[in-house]
Amino acid sequence: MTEPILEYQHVTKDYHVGFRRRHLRALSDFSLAVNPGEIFGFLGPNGAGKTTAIHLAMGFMRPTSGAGKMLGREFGHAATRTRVGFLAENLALHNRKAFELLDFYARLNGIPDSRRRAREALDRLGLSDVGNRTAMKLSRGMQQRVGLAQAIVNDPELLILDEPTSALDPVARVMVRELLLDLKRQGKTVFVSSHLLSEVEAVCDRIAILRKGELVRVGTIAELLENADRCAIVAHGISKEAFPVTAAQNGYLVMEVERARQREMIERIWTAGGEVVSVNPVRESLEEMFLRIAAPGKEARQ
Amino acid sequence: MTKVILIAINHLRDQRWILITMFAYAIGMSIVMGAVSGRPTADDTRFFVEQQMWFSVLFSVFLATAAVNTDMRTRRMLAILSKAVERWQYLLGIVTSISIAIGAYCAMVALLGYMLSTRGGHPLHGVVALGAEVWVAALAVGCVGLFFGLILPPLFATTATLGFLTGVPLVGAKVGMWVVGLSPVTILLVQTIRKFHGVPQIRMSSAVLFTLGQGIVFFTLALFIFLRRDLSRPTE
Repeated sequence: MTEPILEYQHVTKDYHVGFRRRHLRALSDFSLAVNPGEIFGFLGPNGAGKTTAIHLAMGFMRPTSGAGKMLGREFGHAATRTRVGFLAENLALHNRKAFELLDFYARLNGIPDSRRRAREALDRLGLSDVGNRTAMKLSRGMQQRVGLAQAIVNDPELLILDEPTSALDPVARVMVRELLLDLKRQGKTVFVSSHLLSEVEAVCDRIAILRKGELVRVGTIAELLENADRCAIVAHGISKEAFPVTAAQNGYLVMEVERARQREMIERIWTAGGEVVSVNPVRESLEEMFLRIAAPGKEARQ
Repeated sequence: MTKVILIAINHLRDQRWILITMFAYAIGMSIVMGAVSGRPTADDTRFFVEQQMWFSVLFSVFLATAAVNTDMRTRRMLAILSKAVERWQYLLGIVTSISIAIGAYCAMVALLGYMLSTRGGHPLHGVVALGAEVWVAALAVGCVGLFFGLILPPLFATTATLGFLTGVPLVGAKVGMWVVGLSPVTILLVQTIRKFHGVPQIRMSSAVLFTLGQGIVFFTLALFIFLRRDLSRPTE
C-alpha cells in the first residue's frame, strides 16, 4: 500500500487567544491521509480549522497533541519543504519585482538555476509581461497568480494551496484549474482548501469537510454525494394528496424519503394500487451537501 | 549561510525607506552644520557624532522590536518559512540585516564626523573606534530588542528594551553597581562616550567582548522562544 504523502494522526490544536487567554480548540482529534497523485479538496466554513491544519503541516505551528507526516517526515522538517509548494491565504508578497521575488524564493529553496525556474513559473501563470513590475503594485488577482508562481517555482511534489482562487477572475480560475490538472497528470499531489465548491467539484479526486475543528466527511465526490441518507422514489397511479410528494410531472410523482422508510413507503404505494417506477439515492449537489453538514446550527453526520 | 544572507538582504530591502530616511537625515544634518558654521568647532562636531551614534542605538531598537512582529502580521514570514529555511536561519537573517544597516550607519556617521572635524581644522581622533564600539553596542541592543519583540507587541517591546537599558544603571545606583554588570552594553556605551570626550577608559576590549556576549545571550533566548512559538495567529 502506498504511503500517504500528507498524513495527520489524531491532531488536536488548542489556542489561547486575547488578553484573558481564552481557550479555543481549532482542531480536535483530526486524522486524514492524502495519497500521492491526487487532488484533494479541503472544505469547511470560515473558522473550521482548515488554515490551522495547513499551517501545522507546514510547521508554522505545533500540534497540542497528535502528530503528522509530510512526504514521510515529521511536520516542520525544513529540508522536506524543498519538495513542497505553498500558497497562503491572504497572501502578502515582499515589495520586489515579480521576477526577482520568484528568483528569491527559488534560491531560498536552494535551486541552482533559479532564474530559469522563475521565468518558467511566470510563463506558466501567464505573467511574463509583468515580471519587471513590483509585485505589491499588481492587482489582487495578479498578486495571487504571482503567489501561485512562487508555489510552483521549485517544481514541488506536493502543492498546498490555501484559497488559491479567491481573488481570481473567471479566466484566471480556469487557468489555475488547468494548472492543477496538469500537475496531477505529472504525478504531483495537490492539497487545496477552497470555498469555491464548483472549482473543487471540477478538479478534486477526494474531498474532506471540516466543521468546528472536526472532520465530518471524507471520500470521493461521487461517494459523498450519493451517500445521502435519503432516496427518491418515482411512482405513478397514486393520489398526490395521500403521499409526501416533492415533485410531480405528467402523472409521475417523486417522493424523497429517508432510507430507513424506503421499504415502508414502497409498500404503501403498492397497497394504494400504485406502481413504483424507480428508487434512487438522492444525489445532492456539493453545495447542498456542504450547506447541510457544514452550516452553523446543523448537526454533522458521519 | 547563503539563505541567511538572502533573508538579510530581503529584510534590508523591505526597510529601505526607513534606512534612506535615517541616512538622509544624518547627511542633511552634517550639510546644514557645515553650511551654517562654516568651520564647525570641535564641540559641535563631537555633539553631532555623539547624537547620531545614540540615534543608531535607538534605530537598532526600533528595527529589532518590529522585525518579527511585522513579518508575522503581514504573513510575509510564512512565504519565507514555507521554503527550505530553518527558523534559526530566518532569525539570524534579521539580526544580520540589522547589523548591516547599523554598521553602515555608524560608518557613515564616523566618516561625516571626520570630514566635519577636518573642515573645522581639528581632526577628531578615535572616531572610527567610536563607530565600531557603538556598532557592537547597537547590535547587542538589537538582540535585546529582538528578544522583547518576540514576547511583546512592538510598542511594549520598544519600551521594555529601552527600560531595560536605562533601568539597569538606575537600579544599580540604588542596589549596587554589580547590577550594571548584568548589562555590559550599558557599560560599553558609557565608557565609549567618556573615551570620546577624552576621559581615559580601561578595559574597553573587555567591555566590547562582554557586550557581544550579552548580544549572543539575548539572541539565544530569542531563538529559544522563536523555535517554539506558533508563527501564525488563529482566526476566532
